[in-house]
Amino acid sequence: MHPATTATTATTATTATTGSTAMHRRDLLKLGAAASFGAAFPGLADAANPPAKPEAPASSIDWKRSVVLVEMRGGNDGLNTVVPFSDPLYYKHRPRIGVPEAEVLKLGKSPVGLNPVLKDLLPGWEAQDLAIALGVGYPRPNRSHFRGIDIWHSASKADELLHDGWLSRILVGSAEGKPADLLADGIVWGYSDTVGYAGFGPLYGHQLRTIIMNTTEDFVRRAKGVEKAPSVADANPSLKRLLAVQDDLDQTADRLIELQKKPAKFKTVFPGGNLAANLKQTVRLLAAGAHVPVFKLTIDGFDTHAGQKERHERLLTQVGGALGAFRAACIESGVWDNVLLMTYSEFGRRVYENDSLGTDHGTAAPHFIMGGKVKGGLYGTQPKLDQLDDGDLVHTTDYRSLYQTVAKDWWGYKPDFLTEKRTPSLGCVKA
Amino acid sequence: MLVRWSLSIVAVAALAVPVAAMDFPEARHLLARTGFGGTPAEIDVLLPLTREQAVDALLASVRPTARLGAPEWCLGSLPAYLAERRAEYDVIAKITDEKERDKKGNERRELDRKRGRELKAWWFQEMITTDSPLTERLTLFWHNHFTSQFETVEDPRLMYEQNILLRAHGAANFGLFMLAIPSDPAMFRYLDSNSNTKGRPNENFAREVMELFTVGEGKYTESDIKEAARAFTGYKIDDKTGRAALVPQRHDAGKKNVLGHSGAFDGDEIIKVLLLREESVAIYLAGKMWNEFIHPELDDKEVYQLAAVFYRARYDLKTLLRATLLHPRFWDPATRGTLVKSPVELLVGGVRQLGLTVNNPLGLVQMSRRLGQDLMDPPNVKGWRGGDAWISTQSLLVRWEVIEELQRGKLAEKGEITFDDGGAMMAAPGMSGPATAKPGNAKPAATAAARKADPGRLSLVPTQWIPQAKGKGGGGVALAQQVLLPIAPAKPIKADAAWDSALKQCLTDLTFNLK
Repeated sequence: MHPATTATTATTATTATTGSTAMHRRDLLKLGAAASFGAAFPGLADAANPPAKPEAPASSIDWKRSVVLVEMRGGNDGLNTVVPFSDPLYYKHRPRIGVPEAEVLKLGKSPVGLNPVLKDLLPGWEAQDLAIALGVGYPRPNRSHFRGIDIWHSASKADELLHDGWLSRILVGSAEGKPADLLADGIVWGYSDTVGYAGFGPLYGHQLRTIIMNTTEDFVRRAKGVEKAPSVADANPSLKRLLAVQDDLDQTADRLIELQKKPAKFKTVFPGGNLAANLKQTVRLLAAGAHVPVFKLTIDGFDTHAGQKERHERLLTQVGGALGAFRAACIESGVWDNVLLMTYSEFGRRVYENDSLGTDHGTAAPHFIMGGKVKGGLYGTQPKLDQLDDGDLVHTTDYRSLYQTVAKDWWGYKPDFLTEKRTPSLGCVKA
Repeated sequence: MLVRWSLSIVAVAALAVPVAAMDFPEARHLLARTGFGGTPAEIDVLLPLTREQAVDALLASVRPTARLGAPEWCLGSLPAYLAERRAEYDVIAKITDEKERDKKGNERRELDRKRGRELKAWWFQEMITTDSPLTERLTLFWHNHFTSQFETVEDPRLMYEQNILLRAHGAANFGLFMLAIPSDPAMFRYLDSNSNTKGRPNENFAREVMELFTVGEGKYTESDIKEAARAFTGYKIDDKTGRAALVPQRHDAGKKNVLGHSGAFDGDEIIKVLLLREESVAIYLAGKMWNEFIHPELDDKEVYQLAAVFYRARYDLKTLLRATLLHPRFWDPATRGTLVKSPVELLVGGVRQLGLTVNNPLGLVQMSRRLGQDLMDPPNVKGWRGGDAWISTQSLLVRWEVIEELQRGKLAEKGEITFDDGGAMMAAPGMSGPATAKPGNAKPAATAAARKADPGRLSLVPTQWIPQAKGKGGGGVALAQQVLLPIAPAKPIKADAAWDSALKQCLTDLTFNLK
């Protein structure tokens, strides 16, 4: 039999075998019986004239302040990033991949310290503009990469499916005071990582002006390869949209060309790697006076199931080096007070090292927040290694506290955009 | 109330149907809106027909199954496939050496992903070669209504089964369609139905039934969701069928109260209550059809009339489709070019209208992903937003690049599309059945013969026209413009333009993105 036919037959059979609850064709025939019609649809008249939806009151954010998000894709191992070196259980669970106590970069008298490859973060720590949020996660954690990152991107509960990115929800609700010279609502760096709309991540959803690009030069070259939009009388709304977006491409490219002409205001040397290159372009744009509320960057490869130590340290070296250089260049350029950088990842990793000298998908992890207006220090509490849930850390800081920090404390956005209401912010932004 | 509904039907029937045959722009419009755009020969096939005859013929030609044979790993029975796949993963899980276990696990998962890509390519191939483009447009429509993501579902066979389900019900009865959804194994996985059990309900499925599948957003409260979730508790995959079925011990048999209807409902019963008692189901579906086939903006009064027709026809989808496609607004010349082509429509339409040969449809899968539509992997449960949302600075940039490649007729590195010089389209590797037997490119004579044999059916297969049009000078340029663009080009094209330049101008004109 043709496979399609088999499948169809099976479906019908299943419907029928659910017994008395199955809807038969005669039930559906009854649907149209005129006699029951009025009774069935009492609100018919309303349906023809549906009430207008009340418009949400316009709110605003501080448009001059930028958020820079760094996604550590694959699930960053928090325990080898911010190391609980003073807890013997850490070394018991990680005899081979644990970071030796002598090598850990101590953070004052704190019982946790940094992986030594993150040494470039120390200047920020010492100057107290680096905050570390400990044990960031959420209840009933999901260990799937896809679902995990969806949860982070949409600011949802574990069993809640939201459609729009969390930044998208805030930006769309912030019509007031939007500067006319906004370069874009968001810039997502790294085209190859972000094909498809999933790449918009926290900016997914509403029609924001988000630009995805590898480099400004690359974007300018491609945008300038597009013909200029003609002027059309009587264009229908869809054609108007096409014309407007095409025009926008051209104008954005022109503005990028102008911005690139301004000399860099910093001498800081950035290390190699895409993350550093993209952060360098971010500073250049900000230093040249571009207004962009959101930059999103990605560094991939954190799914360290096997042979973790070398791979993970190589990645952390890039993160530390890139973030350290970003800080220095922002300070040099005088934009550090307008920037808040935050890391995130779909989950942390399990406490126990596995037989392949790696770690598997876990739960809570620490994250970094830095910027000129950040009050440095540790926030929240380190999850306890003697109180694990099935071998996993129990989160101590809800991840939405990081978002509340951005929305309320950094941007001054008033409405509570979270479905999990009354989530406190970290309190790490200076008034 | 009753009078209103009756009048509405008369109104729709009376207004819709002029007796005269269609003109070229009308026939073109019908093919653009119900398929992927026609070639001159396809448009010619419709010309002798009235609107009503053409719509009836298109609807009569809808296929309940795919035309291509299934990928070979979908050929066996579903339960046997599932048992085998599970056994393979179980064997891997028992490997004691962790490195070896990881390696084998990765290899097995990569096989699933490879098959997923094959499946996406299979669907593209079906769309490119079908003789009933409306079937594919309906399957795409339902894929965006009853969404599932392959990357979450993980098992490619389940995505195939869902695609087959969408085809079987896509132009049949919406009530029976909706009733088949809770047992669909891909949906079951996608919306975590397995964890929805008595005492610990998971609301995902119930929420989407209300918000996305039946009554639509804003027609219910959180309490309705909670109550409906209880009705859907206790479904479990039955190993004998591979589909979900109710397990009484796991089901919450208590009384539920949903939208003011109360009873000890189970999943099927709650769906029936919604279908029978909630007018918003018909209105929501009629509105989605309006957006899909007529206009991006709803006309609430007209949608409501269509909903009445739909409800009176006991949710018969062909009746709703017929009323929609014969609606005066559909035929209003101002309606032409008001909808944005989705990435899939842009690509499949480009290939069909230009007569390109696709050597490897995997290239189209990648192209579509870059344009923002990763087939079978929508961004979330709400599916693709569609309409204007297809157009952003990002997507427009990629559209330009893709259209330029279509225009050059060659996507050698990524898509291996080459200009057809009369040969048959080639099937993708790994496919069985009729796919290997030269689908597509039926000669016009064969099409005419098929119509003679079965006057109710239409066989819409693209035929080459570009080489002929090229030789016709100004007449060819005018034809290309008439065929490829729904409305006057944004940038006028000179009648005496050289052929290559004129074709390029048509394809790169912004109106080529519209239908």
